[in-house]
Amino acid sequence: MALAETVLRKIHKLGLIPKIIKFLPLCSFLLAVSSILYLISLPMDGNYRNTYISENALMPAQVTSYFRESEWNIVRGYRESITKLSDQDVSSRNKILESWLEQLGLTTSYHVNGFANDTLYAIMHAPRGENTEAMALVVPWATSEGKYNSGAMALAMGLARYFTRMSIWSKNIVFVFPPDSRKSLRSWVDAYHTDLDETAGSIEAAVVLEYDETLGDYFEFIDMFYHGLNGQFPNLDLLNTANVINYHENIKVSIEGIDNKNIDYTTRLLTLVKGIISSCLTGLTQENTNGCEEFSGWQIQAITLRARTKDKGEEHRDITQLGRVVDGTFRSVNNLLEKFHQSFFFYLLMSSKNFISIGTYLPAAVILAVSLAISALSAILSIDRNEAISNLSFILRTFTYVEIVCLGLALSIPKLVATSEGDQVSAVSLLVLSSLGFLSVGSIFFKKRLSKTITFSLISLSLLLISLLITALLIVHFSLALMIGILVLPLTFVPTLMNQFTGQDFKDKAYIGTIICLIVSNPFFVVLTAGNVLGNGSDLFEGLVLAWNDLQCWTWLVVILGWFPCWIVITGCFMFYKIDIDELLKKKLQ
Amino acid sequence: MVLLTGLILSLLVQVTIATQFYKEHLNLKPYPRNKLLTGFDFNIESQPFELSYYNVSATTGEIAHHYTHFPSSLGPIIESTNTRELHLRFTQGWWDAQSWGKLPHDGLFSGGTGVEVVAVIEAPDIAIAQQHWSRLTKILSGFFCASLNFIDNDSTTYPKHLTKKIGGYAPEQGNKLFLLRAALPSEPVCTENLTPFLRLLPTRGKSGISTLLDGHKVFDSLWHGMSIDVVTSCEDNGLCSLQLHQTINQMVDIIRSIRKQTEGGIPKPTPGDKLRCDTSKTYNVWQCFPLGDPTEIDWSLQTIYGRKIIGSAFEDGDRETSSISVDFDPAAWEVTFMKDAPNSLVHRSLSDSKDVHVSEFLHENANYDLKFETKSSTNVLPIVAPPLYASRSLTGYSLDKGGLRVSFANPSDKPVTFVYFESTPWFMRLYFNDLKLSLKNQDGEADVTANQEEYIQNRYYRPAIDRTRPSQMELKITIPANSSLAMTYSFDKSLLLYHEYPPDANHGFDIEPAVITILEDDKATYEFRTTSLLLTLPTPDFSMPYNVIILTCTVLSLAFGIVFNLLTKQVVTEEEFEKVSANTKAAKIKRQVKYRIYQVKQILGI
Repeated sequence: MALAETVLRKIHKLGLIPKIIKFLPLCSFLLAVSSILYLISLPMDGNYRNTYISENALMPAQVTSYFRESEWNIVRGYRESITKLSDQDVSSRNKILESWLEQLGLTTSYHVNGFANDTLYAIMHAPRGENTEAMALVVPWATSEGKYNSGAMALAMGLARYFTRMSIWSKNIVFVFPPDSRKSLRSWVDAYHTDLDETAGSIEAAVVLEYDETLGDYFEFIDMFYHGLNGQFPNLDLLNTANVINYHENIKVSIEGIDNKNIDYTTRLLTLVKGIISSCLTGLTQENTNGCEEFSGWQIQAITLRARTKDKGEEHRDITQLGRVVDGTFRSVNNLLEKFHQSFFFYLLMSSKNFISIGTYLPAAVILAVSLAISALSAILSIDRNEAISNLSFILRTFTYVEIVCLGLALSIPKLVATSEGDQVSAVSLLVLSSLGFLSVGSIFFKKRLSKTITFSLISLSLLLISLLITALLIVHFSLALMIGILVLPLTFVPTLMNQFTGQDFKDKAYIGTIICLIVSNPFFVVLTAGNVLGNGSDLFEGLVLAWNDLQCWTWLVVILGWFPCWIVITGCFMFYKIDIDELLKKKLQ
Repeated sequence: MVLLTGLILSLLVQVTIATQFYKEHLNLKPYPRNKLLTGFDFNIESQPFELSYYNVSATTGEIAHHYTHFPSSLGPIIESTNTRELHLRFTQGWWDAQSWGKLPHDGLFSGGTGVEVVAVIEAPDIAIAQQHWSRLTKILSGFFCASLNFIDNDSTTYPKHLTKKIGGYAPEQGNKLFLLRAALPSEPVCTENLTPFLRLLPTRGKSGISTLLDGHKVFDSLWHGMSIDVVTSCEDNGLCSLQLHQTINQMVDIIRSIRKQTEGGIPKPTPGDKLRCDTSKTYNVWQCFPLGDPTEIDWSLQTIYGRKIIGSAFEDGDRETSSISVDFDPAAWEVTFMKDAPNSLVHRSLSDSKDVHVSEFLHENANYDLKFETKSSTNVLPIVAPPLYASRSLTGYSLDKGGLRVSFANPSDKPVTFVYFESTPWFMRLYFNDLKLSLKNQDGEADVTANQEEYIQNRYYRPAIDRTRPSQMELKITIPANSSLAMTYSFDKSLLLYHEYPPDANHGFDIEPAVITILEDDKATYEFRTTSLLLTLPTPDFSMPYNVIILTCTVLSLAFGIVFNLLTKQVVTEEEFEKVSANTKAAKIKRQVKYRIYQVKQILGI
């Protein structure tokens, strides 16, 4: 205490505080840069950890899987019959599949979802089991790339037949055959926990399997997907279990499309960055919807395994090997006496063997939040505080109105997009939204101008709100928090630039700079640009808007109720701000 | 219960006529998809004796009765706890009602997953009955190697709809009969429960049909249930006898048993040449579309149990003490009764009589076996559909609340009335204000919550009290013909105290199966249970308290430091402080040292 007292006194004596205040914008920027540098340093040796199995009961790859030899003949037999079904519609395919499953003695049932084909599912009740827990093997009729999933379907049939021969099961096994792995699967998962008659207890783990028809007998490696909605991940133990089994089967696993053959700093960094991006986009775009995220929010650990091949003929992994991976994973999960709880739920993968845990990566987003808070502080310190406090009610009222308008948008736009046909309306609403921010038209006719005090307090409050948004998000959805933090960084330059206005026209460099900052940090400009970079224009926007209703992914709400109002307020401030000529003259004289 | 008691009594009447005190029976019935239902029945009756209310504090003498075949280990337990009826159920597995139909013995001897105890206890009041009950469960716990000692007031229920029907015994003056029930759904049933079961038999599993009961084989079935029922029956002359009825029922997967015998326990892939392929599809050395299970099979008791029946129960006993019966379709099956005596070998076909129910007595000192052969194992006696199907599941996902959904389906052409008995632990706080009923029939699905009186005719609900007693719900429900009714209601999950979590808290908490008793003219005709449920409660990270302690201590010490400073230190201005600090001893010494160093430097000329 005494030390702190001495230091404080010294600071006071030397008059450091005004000096620090002067450098606050720079501090804020440096902090933002250091946050990114920190993130980049994570894939360096010593900063990350090797994955390990935390739950001893799992014992992956400790059993010999007998899904081999003649089981291959059976998988081929099923596959030929399934391939022949490719030109039929899903409901008639389901009928045939159902008859096969019933022949194996499984209980089959349908989920009628009301918008697409019915989802067929079959329950294998564990002999002597308690019937309170289950594992799910999900095989959609169409892969997430839209191909016919015949290989995985044949595998599922072969595995169903193979599983019924064993008496070791302590958990039921549910085989789910949705028409696709997006909305129909989500709807099945919802229904399983609300109104299905045939259930098999709480699902502990789920594996979504994709092996499309073009692959034939062999594949080369497995693409593993694990991102859930709203920043949720499956327990790291499940991923590790699958990875250990893959390793023992000598199958290469790629995470975020980067294989685990040669792992070095670059691949780790790439995996990390891609992981953060795809975690933000999960459920929003077709590429980032792989089936496993549909189980999010129900305390079900889920992964997607997709068999892939690059150039045929290099390495052969036969189809039953993928079956053995599923078999091994299920047998490990079957060993569990408790739920998955031992290992991490929050982590970032750098390869199939390396990860960083929440404690290590969290500072990156924390520093960003601090950086935003500091720029908010710098904005509020540049004005007369007493005047700001006397205008507090106006400031808060403004925010409330903006939030109410945004809430209206948050509810109405998804309805508009869902009811419209084609891309036009969504593109139009996108434009409307972006231009809504540019209150320029209004500003010309609107005579009243805002004083410097009000302008800067509004800006400061907006920045502080974003900082709080990031802080609130950073544990539950680190990737989104980080991404928003980086994308709104240009907003932190706005108060500094506005302080440097010499005239409010396009001759003023600061004025142009502010406009650029505002455009770049507009959420819908970002969404549109990202959509175009990812390849599908307004698809990302449509996915963002629809994901809340379809999949309960709340990224849309964060954007429209957190990011957008703050942006609108800052832009409004910019539009209605009037420079105080006297002050400007005083500055010039000095 | 009256039916149960009646059934046991009627069985025992037969016993008394036939062999007085002991009778055993094995029934075999092939089911579709190569399954086999086996049912072992054992009936034991004690010698009549004078039964009186046993007062724990007053009685000094020991209970010494001669029970003959009735297990002398069990008799004193029953008598000293004043238990007049005891029903124990050990069950594991899932009864597939869709393909297997009704439970054996109309479900009266089958429990839900885990262990179930029901006892009728004679006592002057409920408190003493609870004491007896507590002693009974604790003794039985050691006796049957089951966690029955964990049965406490917070898991004991007093089924209302059963109490009306206690019969067969009249209590002493001033005493009443109390019916208590408890279930342990998470109890795994294992060999350690079978051994004491066999020890109750006079044959000890060494002769007669009980020789087949090997733990490895009994528990390697799709579903199995053990039951032990003790009933007291008294004659007019005041003498009472204890009657014990034990059953083991199991559903055996014949194909698996055959495979285990021929290929061993490991499910190795079938050799290529032994694959059974659909020849109408592409079929070659690489490819095979599998056919279903073979229908041309032959097997014997030896295949399933790994041994034969050794002799009859008693060498010198009645010839009808041990019997065996088979229910089958004689047109499709060839069943051979094989008797392997030291000096004779008898093979006799049981299919010749063309009866669907054939029984044989085992009365010689020989090894007995039954051989089953068929060309089409799908031809079995028709399955009797149960009067009602029910499934129960948990809904919702959050850790603070959840919901229960029970769906009843009535497949028959007439309405079904039944009593739905459900007991939930106190940490599930049920809400009946949002109980919803929806009826589904050929006209579609409709919400019938508004006129629920039409479906739920009578309800009895005893709410739970935290840490003291579970909730108990008994609903009398009628389901119209050919329709299904779904009932949903929600509950809150409470937080447990730190020490109330079991060692495997992250497993979740098992909720005992609900019991459904079908009534016909107010008589129970069929009984079955739903599956148990696994409830997830908010589970703390058990190392957290230590983190909290450390953090709290740090914060407290900081706060203490500040407050202490404020209280003990004098407040001065900065100038005063600087003046005072320049005159402290330390400052003086510091000045002195500085001065000396300066002097030394001067001397050295630095």
